[in-house]
This record gives sequence, C-alpha cells and structure tokens, in this order.
Amino acid sequence: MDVTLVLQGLLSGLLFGGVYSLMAVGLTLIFGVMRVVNFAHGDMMVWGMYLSYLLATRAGIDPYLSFVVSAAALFALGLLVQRGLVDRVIDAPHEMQILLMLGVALVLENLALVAFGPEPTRVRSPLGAATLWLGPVFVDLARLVTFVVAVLLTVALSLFLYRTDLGRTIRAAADNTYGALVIGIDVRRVYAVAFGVGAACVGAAGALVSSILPFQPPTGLSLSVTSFNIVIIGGMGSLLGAFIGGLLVSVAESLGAVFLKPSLKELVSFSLLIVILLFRPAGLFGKRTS
Amino acid sequence: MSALLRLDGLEAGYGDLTAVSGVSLEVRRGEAVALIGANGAGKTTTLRAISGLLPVRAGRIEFEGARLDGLASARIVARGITHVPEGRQLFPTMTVRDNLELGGRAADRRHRDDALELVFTLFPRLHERERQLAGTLSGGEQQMCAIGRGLMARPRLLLLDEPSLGLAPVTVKLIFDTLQRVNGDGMTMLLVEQNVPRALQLSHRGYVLENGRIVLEGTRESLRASPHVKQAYLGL
Amino acid sequence: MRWAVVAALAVLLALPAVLSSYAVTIFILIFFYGFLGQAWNIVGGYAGQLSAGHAAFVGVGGYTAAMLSIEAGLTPWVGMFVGAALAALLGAIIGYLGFRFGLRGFYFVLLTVAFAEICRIAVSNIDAIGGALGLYITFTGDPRQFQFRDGRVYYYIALALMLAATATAWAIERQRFGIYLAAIREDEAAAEALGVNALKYKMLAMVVSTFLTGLGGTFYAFYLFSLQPNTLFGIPLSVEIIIRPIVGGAGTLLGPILGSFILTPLAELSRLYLGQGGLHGAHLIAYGVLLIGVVLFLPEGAYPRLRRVLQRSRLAPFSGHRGSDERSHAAPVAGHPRSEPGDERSHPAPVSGHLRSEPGSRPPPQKTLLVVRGLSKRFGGLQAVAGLDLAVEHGEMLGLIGPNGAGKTTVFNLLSGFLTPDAGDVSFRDRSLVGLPPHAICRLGLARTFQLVRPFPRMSVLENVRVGALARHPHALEARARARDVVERVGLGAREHVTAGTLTLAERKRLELGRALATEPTLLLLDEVMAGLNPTEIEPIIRLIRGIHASGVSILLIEHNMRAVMALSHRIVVLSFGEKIAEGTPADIANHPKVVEAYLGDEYVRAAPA
Repeated sequence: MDVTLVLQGLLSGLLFGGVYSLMAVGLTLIFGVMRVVNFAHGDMMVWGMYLSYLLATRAGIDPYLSFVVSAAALFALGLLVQRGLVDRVIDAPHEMQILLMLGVALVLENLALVAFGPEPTRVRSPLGAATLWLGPVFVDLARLVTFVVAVLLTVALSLFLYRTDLGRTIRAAADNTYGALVIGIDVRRVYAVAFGVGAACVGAAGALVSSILPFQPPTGLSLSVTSFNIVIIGGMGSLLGAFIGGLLVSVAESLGAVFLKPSLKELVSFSLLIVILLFRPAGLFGKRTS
Repeated sequence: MSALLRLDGLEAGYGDLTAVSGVSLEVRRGEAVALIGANGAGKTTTLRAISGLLPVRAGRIEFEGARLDGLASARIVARGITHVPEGRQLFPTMTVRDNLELGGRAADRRHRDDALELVFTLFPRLHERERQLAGTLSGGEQQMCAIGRGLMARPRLLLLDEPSLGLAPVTVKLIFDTLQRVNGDGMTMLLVEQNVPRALQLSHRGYVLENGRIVLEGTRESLRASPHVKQAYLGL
Repeated sequence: MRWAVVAALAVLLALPAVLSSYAVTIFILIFFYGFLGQAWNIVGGYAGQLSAGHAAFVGVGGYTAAMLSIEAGLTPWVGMFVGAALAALLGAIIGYLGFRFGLRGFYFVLLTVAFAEICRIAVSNIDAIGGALGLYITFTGDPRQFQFRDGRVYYYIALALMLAATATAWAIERQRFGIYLAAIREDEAAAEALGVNALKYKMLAMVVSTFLTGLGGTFYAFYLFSLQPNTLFGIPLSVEIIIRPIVGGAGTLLGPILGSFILTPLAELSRLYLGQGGLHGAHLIAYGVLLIGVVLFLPEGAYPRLRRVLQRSRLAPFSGHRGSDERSHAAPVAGHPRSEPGDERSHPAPVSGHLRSEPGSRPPPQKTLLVVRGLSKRFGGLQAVAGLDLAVEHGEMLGLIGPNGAGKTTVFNLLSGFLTPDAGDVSFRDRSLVGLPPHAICRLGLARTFQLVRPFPRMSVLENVRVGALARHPHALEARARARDVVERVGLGAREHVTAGTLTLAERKRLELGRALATEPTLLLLDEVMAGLNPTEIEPIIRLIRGIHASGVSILLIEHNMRAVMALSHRIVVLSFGEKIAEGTPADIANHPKVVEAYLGDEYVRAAPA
C-alpha cells in the first residue's frame, strides 16, 4: 500500500468532512431541539445544490457566493415545514413523525426530479480546476475552500448558539423544554427557528458541495442516510458529536475507498454505525438516556 | 394594601382529573403568602395555572387589575410573574451564567448586569460556580440557581414551588433566609411548600389546600396554632 | 362479515377469467404489495417496531432462490423456503441487535435502514452474484422453475401469498402472541410488568415477518426475471412496503390489503399517465402528499376509520352505549365551608375508626415472603436508596411512606426489576430477584402497579386485564374468562368493553389494580393507587385493597394518603432521603418524632405538645 495514497485519502476525506459536519450539525440541531428526525434532510440539501446550480447557470453567481442565498431559501423552507407540518405532530408517536418526514422527503425529491430531470449535474466553478501541491499530496482548491467555509459556518453557528440570546434560548429549549416554558420562552417560535437553521445548514452545505459532487435527485436519500449515520455515531443531539462524526465518517469512507474499492466506501461507515449501535448506542458524545 | 394577584374560583386539572376547583385567594403587594397542603392537594396545579403552564378551566386570575387567564406563559412572564418550579427545571448542559442570563433575557444589557449582580450578592456560591454546568451543581446550588434565574427577570411576583424539596436542613435554612431577605426588599411571593414551619416562618399569611380546595386560611400565627395543619399532613 | 369474506374470495378467484392482461398485472401487484405489507405488518404494525429496511429481506430471499436455481439447479419451489429461512435468520440477528438494547423509534428505523444499505452495497460488490448489474433469469416457461406462460398463474400465486400472510396474521392476532405484541406496542414497560417477555415476542414477530418477506423475494425474482441490488435492496422498495399498511391501518388485519387496493392502482395509473412525457416522479409526489395527509388527517389508517363508519351505520340505534356519558363526574361540588383556624367542622370525617384493621386477628405469618438487604441505588449525585433493609411477611400488608423524593418509587423499581441495584439483595420466596427482568419477576408472583397509571390506551378494559391473565393462563379464551372475573372484582364489569384511554382516573386506577391482580401475584406492590382521587373514590378503593388482601395476597403499598395508609397497614416503614428512618405499627409511626420531623420539620417536633 502506497503511503502517499493513504495520505491523499486521509486529506481528501478530511476536507470533504467539513460538509458532512455542517450537514450533520443541522440534523442534530433539529433533533436535539424537537426530538424529530428530519428524514428530508438530504433532499433539502439537494435543493440547496439545485439552487446554486440555478444561480450559477442563470445568473452566473459562483456557488461559493450563492451558498448564502441557498441557506436563506432553505431556512424559509425549514421554517415552513416546521410551522405547517411538524408542529402538528410534535407530540405524536415517533412513527407518525417519521412517516410525515418521509412524505416530505418524497415530495422534495420528486419535485426536483420533475423540475431538473434524472441526469447527474454538477456546477462549474473556476475553483474546480485548481489544485495545490503540498509535497507528495495535492489539494483540490475547491475542496479546500469548501472545507474552510463549512468549518467557518459551523463555528458561526456555534457562536450563534452559545453567544446570542436567541441561540441560548434554542439550546435551553433543547436542554429542558419545560424549563424553557417556565421562564417564558416561546417554545413554538424556537422550534420554527431551529428547524429553519437546521435546514439552512444543508442549504449552505449543498451549495458548497455542488461543484465537487455530481448530484441528481436521488442523491438526497443517500445524503439523508449518511447524515443519520454521522449523527448516531456522534451522539444524537450533540453538536460536537455531529462535527467530529462528520469528519470521522468522511475520513473512514475515503480510506475505505483507498483500501477496499470506491463502491465499498459506504460499507465502512455503516459498519462503524453498527459497531456504535452495539457498544455505545448513545454515540461517541451522546448522553446515555435510561 | 391592594391585591397584586387575585384568584377567583380557579379550576384547573390534567386530562379528566380536576386537580383544583373553586380556589380563591389573593396576594398583596410586598407580602409573602404560603400555600400549604399534603401531596396531591393541588398546590403545584395552582401555581402552574397562574403562570400559564396549565389552562384555566374556570374562574379568573387577575394581576395588577388585569386578567391573566388565557395568556401564554411567555406573556405572563412579560407581565412580571416568574415561576421557580418544583424540581428546579434548570438547563443542565448550560452554565450557571447562561441559566441566569436566560432568566433575564427580556431586559437590556445594563439592567441584566444589575440583576446579575444582585443575584450574585444574594447567592455568592453561584458567583463562584458561574462557569460550571448547571447539571453538575449540588441540589442546594441548583435551587439557588433556579431562584436566581427567576429573580433575573425582575418580577413583581415570584412563585416558588417547593424550594426545600430534597435539600439538607442547613441548605434549607440558607435558602429561606435569603428568600426572607428578598421579601424584605419588597419582592412579593407566593410559596408552595411542604416544610410547613419554614413556610410559615417566611410568610405573613397562608392558605391550606386539601383535595383541590382551600379549607383554611389565616395569618402565620393562627396557622401555627392550628391542629388542622398537622392533620392535613399526617392524616391523624 | 364471514359471508363478505367468502364472497370477496369468490370474486377474486373468478376475476382473471374476465380481466384483461393489463388488469391482471395490476391485481398481481396489488396482491404482492398487500402480501409484503401484511408481512411487514406483523412486526411493524402489531409489534409496533418500525422496520424501514424490509426490502433487504425481499432481496435476500430473491437472491438466494435465484442463485440456487441458476448455480445448483434447485427448483425455486424449494429455494424460496431456503431464501425465506435465510431472511428470517438475518431478521433474527438484526432484531436481536436492535431489541437487546431496547432501540426504539427512530433508532430502530435507522438500524434497519443501515442494515439494508449494507446489504445493498455488499451485494452490488460481489461479482459472483451479479454485482451492480444484478442477475437475470432465462425464461423457460417451466412451472418447475416457477415460470409460467400464463400470467394468471402469477395472479393466483400472489393471491395465495397474500391470503397466507393474512391467515398468519389472523392466527397471531387471536393468540397470546398477538395479544402480547399489541401490549408491547402500546406500552412496553407496562407489558413487561405483566409478565410479557418483550424481547422474545419482538424477536418472534421479526422472524415470522422476515420469513414471509423472504418468500416474497422469490416471487419478485421469478415474476420479473431480473434482480438488481438497487431495486431489490433499496430504500424505495422499503418505503413501498411500509406505506400500504400504514395508509390502510397498521396493526389491523385488513389494513395492509386495503392499503394496497388503494395505493397500488393509484401508483400504477399515475405511473402510466404522469410517468410519460418526462414527468418522472410526479406520481411519487402524489404519494408523498398522500403520506403527509394520512399522518395529519388519518393517523390510524383507513381501515379503522372505515370499520367505525360501518359499525356506526349498523349500530346506530345503540350508539348511546358508546356515546358521550362515559366520563363520570364523581367530584362533589359542594365545597367545604372555609373555616377559621382551629375550627374542626371542615375537617373531613375521619375514616380511620372503622377502617383500621386489627393486626392481632391475623394468623401468625409462616415464613418471610420478601427479604430486602442493604438495597442501594445511586443516580448521578443522588443517593436515591441507601442500604435499605425490609421484610414482608406472608399475609402482611406493609406500608411504605416518606416525604416526596424519599426514594419510595425507586424501591419499587428495584424490587420489580425495572432498575438494577448498585448493591444489596432482594430475595422473594427464597429466590434472589437481582438481575431478573421484570417479566420474570412478575411470573414468580411479584406484581406491581405504576404511580402514573399506564393502561394500554387503545385496548378495552377486558383486553387490558387479559394481558395480565395470560401470564398464568396461556390460552387466550381461558385468560379472557379469568380476566372477566377480575374485571368484575375490581368493579369495572359494566365498563369491560370500553377503551381504556377513555376511562376516568378512578377507573384507570382500578384497571391498573385489576391488571396486576390478573397475574395472580403472591405479593402485590401498589404505588399510590389513591393519588389524585377524591374521598368518595378512595373509600371503595380501600375496601377493594382489603378484599384483595383477604383473598391471600400480601401487599406492599406506597401511599401518600396518610389516613388510608394508617388504616390499611399492619406495619409501616418510613423512608427519608433513601434511608429507613422508622419502622413500626401505625400508632408507633404517627408519634415517632423522626417521622414528624421528616414531614413537618424539627421546629414542629419541639413545638408540638407531647
């Protein structure tokens, strides 16, 4: 086994992991606050990709700028989904919430299919062609920028959650809903904002990855599954867990592609998931609930 | 003295259980009033109805002359009532400071800092543990944090639910001494408590609840002398 | 009902004679998806364990039969059972992994999704079984190879599969197995407390369900002559499997079939009309909207709704029975006059006089029934129970009291197996209970009630109690007869067919008691059965507890209603901060300074007259 190849795998895995982290942070935020799993998470991300695709092809805006628009649009979508649908099943059994979100996922995925067709697409960015050589390994500039922006966004999100009043009320509602009600937090509003922010994460993540990863409507499903995977590995509801988990899963997949073969890379992360579920069902950073 | 809070024929409950009915009471400005009674008598229900955490089924609640019943809990907090709930209900994975600031988030920065200073003066222990996660505090410290969080909103009425629950006697004394001080500085309080002597020591007046109804009311002295109070608790 | 079923069957059997071949194809799909839905229904509906990876079992079954046929020449008629057995084995493994840790709700969903995805990726990467391209079966038209020139044969096979799965579900439904599954779905902890081995029955449900699903794989493979990992193991097929029973009504016998009759033609027609002209996916949008609509407006599915509509039209004259007057308002309206301090008039009449039992009149206890030594449990920083010693004699009624948060309910959870002690031993009839699961403890004769009552809300009163009775009487009919006696005994005879969710609190307390009683315990742990009741409701409950005790059941009761506990108990143990602070007869306890202090504080002790 070539050491350079392994290093290269490690590096590109790590760089791609930034997007995984951002995506998983969004999911874990929604889950942590509402205890609802957003089964449409990946499909929302695909819409983020198509939005950046539209903005690039119609208005000539580079995805590394248009991610702001994607994030804003997805924030609105998340808010709507929460207010219009999720809010009505917030106290219903889990299976009802799951089915509802599966329904949303089906609608989003197939709307994309109707609007954009089944062919794989990719957004062209001038950054896409550039590479940097770091000794024996190279860095794809697009991936580097994606990584940096994704990490910056994750940091910005944690600053929002830890440093602002609104962010603190979101964390408070996640921590103890009754306690939040007692001190007069409008929990329904917090839920809507949290869902919006969670969706904005994938809006941005989708745009950022749209020039790296070829995508088509069904991509959403596998992205959803990957984000569940990450969030369980990291610990459901844990922001740090989602961040580390994203990097971990990405690196694992990347190394899996090197050591096994590219089509088997997901097998590595799923095996990781099974191991976690067996020995630490609460995840790496999750709290054990009795 | 005018009544700050007035309950008139309050009825509230959970599902098909009517936990309190026909409860009428009043709390005057500057007073500390105790609501005592055995488990399941409806004390917590009454507090939760006042703070909008439980719908009022019948009767009315007035605060400073305006109706409160039917308002959402967020609105009631904004009107100037804060609730220090049973079991403290802190945010365990957030710091003491965050917990306190959340309590006072409606105020602007300067007022919030003043309130924070006040809370730290009352409970120096909280100042020491400012950066610690609330979930890692001892029971007594958690109770202080919950009271502090309630005070941060600078309420005109403080509802306290079982502040002595599960605490060692020394801590209970400390907390009640502090509450007495806060009341002495003019804070109106409605207190639900199982520790009757402590409750009566702090309060000017009290009401005894039994099976969701008020069966007795009176001043501190008259309640202390009443054999009824012991009966209500021990069922003898 | 019976004639309707026979007529429907006759029609379905005769239909192919008049249908076009396209219509036959649609019916084949209706039956096949109805079959898969019914198979899923056993674990996903009846047991309430939402498997979202059932496609994997279709895949495993289909691939196994196809490979055996291609490589070894084994006829699919045999191969389908081999494939089904393999699917069931995988189902058992995945079920064990999930259920062992009590992975519930979305965790189980995600586990099953992950498992199916692993299968899909693995199969796509094994070239020996076709890799990503999949397998193709050459058409020979040989019936021994599960191939038929006449499409109507597939029609009958698919119909037979659907009927077989439905018959299986029907058989399960009427036996202890099915009743237990429903109890697990409603409230697993409550079911455990009534002697239901939840792990075992969930595993069984998973095995039966995945076996049937595996059979379906063979049909799929030999009907379409091709197997592709992405279609056979993919999440979309799993969703197709789930959606029909849910739309029709999960956990009902006819729900999956009804769901398939609604959705399959809809899907086919929309695929036919919307799928053309480049509008890929339009029918799936409709699907998604339908799913959202079902969750929001028809959360229990179409079949239960349909059944209710039918019943209402048939039973219209009797509707008063199930109507609005199910809630009794027992609370007296007249209030106590508010009294001045010291006034005795408002004090409720003391019940203790005529209720207090004479401990001396009991026969002397033979042997200690329950012995607890050094029992301890810590939650984080809180020592909930600290070195508790406790003994319950045969025939005794022991009260356990203490202020809020003293650790009483924790003691019950430790005794009944819901919590494992950090230290100490519990011995019941000379057997250690430590480490035993709740259902095993229940079967040994130690039953409990829950402080916050946990009825199975969608079952009737009688069905609730029958779950308990099944612990001693495995035959469903016999258990039903026993349950009826118990229902009568706890005074709910007139309400036996009422859904438990609509009972009043007092009735639910009685139901809770009845369910525990139906397990025929030697020792009954009662956790605040009187809490939240008003005095008129309490007195009959006290009489009921007396009666149960008189029939030879020893009782350990936690109670906050002091008058009741003083009246009922032979002895009382007082807990405070997890420790036993006093023990003795009711009279001893009432005057014990430590007890008065624990409840009222030390000043009260000093102030109180001696």
